[in-house]
Amino acid sequence: MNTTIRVRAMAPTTWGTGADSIAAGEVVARPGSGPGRMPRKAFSLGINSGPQQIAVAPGDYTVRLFLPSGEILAESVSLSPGEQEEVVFELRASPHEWLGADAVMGNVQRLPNAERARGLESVRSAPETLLDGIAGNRPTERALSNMRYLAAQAVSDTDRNIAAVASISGLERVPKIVGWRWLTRIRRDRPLPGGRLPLLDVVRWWTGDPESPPTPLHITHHDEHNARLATSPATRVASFEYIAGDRRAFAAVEDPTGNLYYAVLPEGWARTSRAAYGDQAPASVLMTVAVDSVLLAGDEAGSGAHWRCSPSVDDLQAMAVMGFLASGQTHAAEILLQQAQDLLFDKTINPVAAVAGAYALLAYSEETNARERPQWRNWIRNLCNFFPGFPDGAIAMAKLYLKFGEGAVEEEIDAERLRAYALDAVRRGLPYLSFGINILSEILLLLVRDDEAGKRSGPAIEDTRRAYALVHQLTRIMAPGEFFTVLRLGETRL
Amino acid sequence: MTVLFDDGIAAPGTHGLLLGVGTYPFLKEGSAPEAERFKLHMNMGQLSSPPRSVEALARWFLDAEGGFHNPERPLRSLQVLCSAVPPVALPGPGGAATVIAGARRAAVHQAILDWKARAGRHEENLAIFYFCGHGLSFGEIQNALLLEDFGANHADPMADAIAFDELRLGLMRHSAARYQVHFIDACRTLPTREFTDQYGDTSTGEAVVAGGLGRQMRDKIAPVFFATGLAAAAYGLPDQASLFTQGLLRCLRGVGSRDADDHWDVTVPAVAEGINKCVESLAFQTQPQYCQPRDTGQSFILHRLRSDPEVIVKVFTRDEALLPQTILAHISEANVRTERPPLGVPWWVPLPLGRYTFEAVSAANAAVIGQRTKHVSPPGAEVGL
Repeated sequence: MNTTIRVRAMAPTTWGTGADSIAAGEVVARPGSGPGRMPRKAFSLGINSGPQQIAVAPGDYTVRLFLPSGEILAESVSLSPGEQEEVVFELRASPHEWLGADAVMGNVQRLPNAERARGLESVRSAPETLLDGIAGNRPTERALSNMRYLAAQAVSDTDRNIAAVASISGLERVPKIVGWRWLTRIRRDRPLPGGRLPLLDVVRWWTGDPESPPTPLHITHHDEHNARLATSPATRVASFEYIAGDRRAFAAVEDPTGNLYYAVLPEGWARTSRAAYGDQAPASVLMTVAVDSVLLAGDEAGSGAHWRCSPSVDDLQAMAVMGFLASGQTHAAEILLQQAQDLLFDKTINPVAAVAGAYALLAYSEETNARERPQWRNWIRNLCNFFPGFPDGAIAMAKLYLKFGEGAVEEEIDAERLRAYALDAVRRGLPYLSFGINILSEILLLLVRDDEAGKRSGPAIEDTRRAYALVHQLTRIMAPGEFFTVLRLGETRL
Repeated sequence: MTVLFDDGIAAPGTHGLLLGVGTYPFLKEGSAPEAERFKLHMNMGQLSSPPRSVEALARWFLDAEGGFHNPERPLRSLQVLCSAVPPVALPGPGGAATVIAGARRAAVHQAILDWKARAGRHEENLAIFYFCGHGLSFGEIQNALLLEDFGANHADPMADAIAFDELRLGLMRHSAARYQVHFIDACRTLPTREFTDQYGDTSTGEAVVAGGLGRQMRDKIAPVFFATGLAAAAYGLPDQASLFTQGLLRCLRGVGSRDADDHWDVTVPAVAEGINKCVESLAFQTQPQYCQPRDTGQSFILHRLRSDPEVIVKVFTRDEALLPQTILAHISEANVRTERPPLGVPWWVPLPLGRYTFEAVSAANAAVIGQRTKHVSPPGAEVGL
């Protein structure tokens, strides 16, 4: 019998990922394993699905699980020859069954509750009980004082956040969330405007002209802090054009506090996992309450609770890749990509999913990419060239050129070549993925500064300045931390 | 200028620049005469955490026995600037106590240029930049770090700020050091409408090192770790190192480490989650993505542990309602038992790497509610009983 580690990831829910893998893992020999230490083994894993079996040599190992939310869990095992050991990672419960996937992706936050606040009050009166990390250590008076302060701060924080959450949500307010789906077309020959545009003009420039009256979004699920909105199945669009950039779909949503969001709605999405290749995946928007301040002092102006607008698509594997990108776990994204990169890039039935993969690849060195996937440069080039309306493809190409050059990393950066890619990206309209906007902004900034240093002038230089100003305005209204691009129209500084 | 350490050696090494700003004379409740203070302070005032944060991190770097340890890139230089009242004092050359100079614009600009020059002594160097103080965010990659004299210039306040993202791009272009790591422990709050109405939103500070295109950028690996997400407020405990810095230091003790041949290394991709786990243990709550990483895809070693790592273990009852009546315990392999009396919150306990038995026991009748044995490894473990 082989020596094997069986790994499972279980959540206390009936929801599961089925045949899709959305977590990435690794098995690493523990330090001191001696000569012949087994190289790291990577694997992918579903939630509440069958175990992953990893054959290993006898010894001591650390098994790590990476979740798209950014969380990392670790377990250790020791195996004798021929032994089989099961490692079960237990995940936290989501607020509701219908939020199971969102919880794993990190799109739903565990909100503060009164029980936790009362629990913290007991810490304030008995801080020494939390300071025994290592037997025999007696906490100092300063450590006790610090712990009391931390606990008091946490109580204050929790109580304030509970009140803030209650003031913007609840079963009476949530059903008042309204949304509309807009279908648009972006004219790539529209001029780059000079000067600062009013907010709605900025949005219109980036997202295009409506093709038809909007279609209502319906609340399909909701609770006191969350609501999912989607178009009815009869009005859903399934055309490839909508994920290739030739036509666009956006969701306009108003939250209970009156703030308006305009978000990429990834309709027309085709799944790229092996288990469901080519199947249409419905798109939706999750409105959820979030708290983004921690341990603020009483007089500090914290943002408290607010609504988040998170577009998503019912394609767990693709969403997981984006989650890993957002949390900086690029190597975990790569583990998932390796399973299906030929499907993702060779056939390109879904440019948006493919470009998420491309962004992950761009984080690696030329050597790593050339060794693991020799065709990687062509993949990115195709995303740019095969889909002339797809902004993210042009952004990925610009980044490829900036970081690696066209042929060799030693070649000088040709500002005009980079400029062409960057301006093309801007003209193609609002990027589907928010990662792309940051990359584009950085590239345009580099061009603008390089033009200043080189004292360049001319129409292309002027276009670059205008493009940078447009992206600059865009980044001011872009909601941070979302996979798909979301514009906040209700609390702009423009 | 305060260069606490510089061995002058050109071989590969680590060069650190730590900046802390606690006193802002021209902001809210600052020491400057009222007429000179900046009216549009956006509720930004004096901070007690940055001096403690800088001090804690500097001492860690300088601690040759228990602090920073990178055999491939040992510490070659460390420079610190910190605005504090009273000023921070740290061991300088020869071990003598050195009063640290304030982080005013001119001094910071020069310090950055000097640090860039030191870090440029070898292309394999690791350059570490750390800032703790107020920050403004005009967009996700338009972050301004506010220096001590911010607010003195009422005509152009952003002249006394650093445009961090431009600085980073400039360093990628002009600094020879291949590895450049940035820790930004600052608020990323949006400037108010009043501020942008008066001053606009195109100036986010001084780049100090101008950007521009050059193939040298391609060789650089420059990850960034932000203390908070955009439009969120970082926080500092009065007279303590900030949550982020405490989390960072704890992360460097093991939570952010990964298995290597016969040792444990703190590597770049592991730092963000390491900090997040540490922050959760300090704040008694999960704050999703408290540490926001950027460009952390490529792995390299920041620090090597000299001994087994310390990890954060969260022990709790699966039924949270039982916590207030439950004694939690861990028993080491040496059979040493440590208990925590009933409290209404989970138990976040730092433990050395190893195998432990965890127990939940009813305080009312001593019945064992749950028991599990686990070998805990970085970044940590959650033990539900």
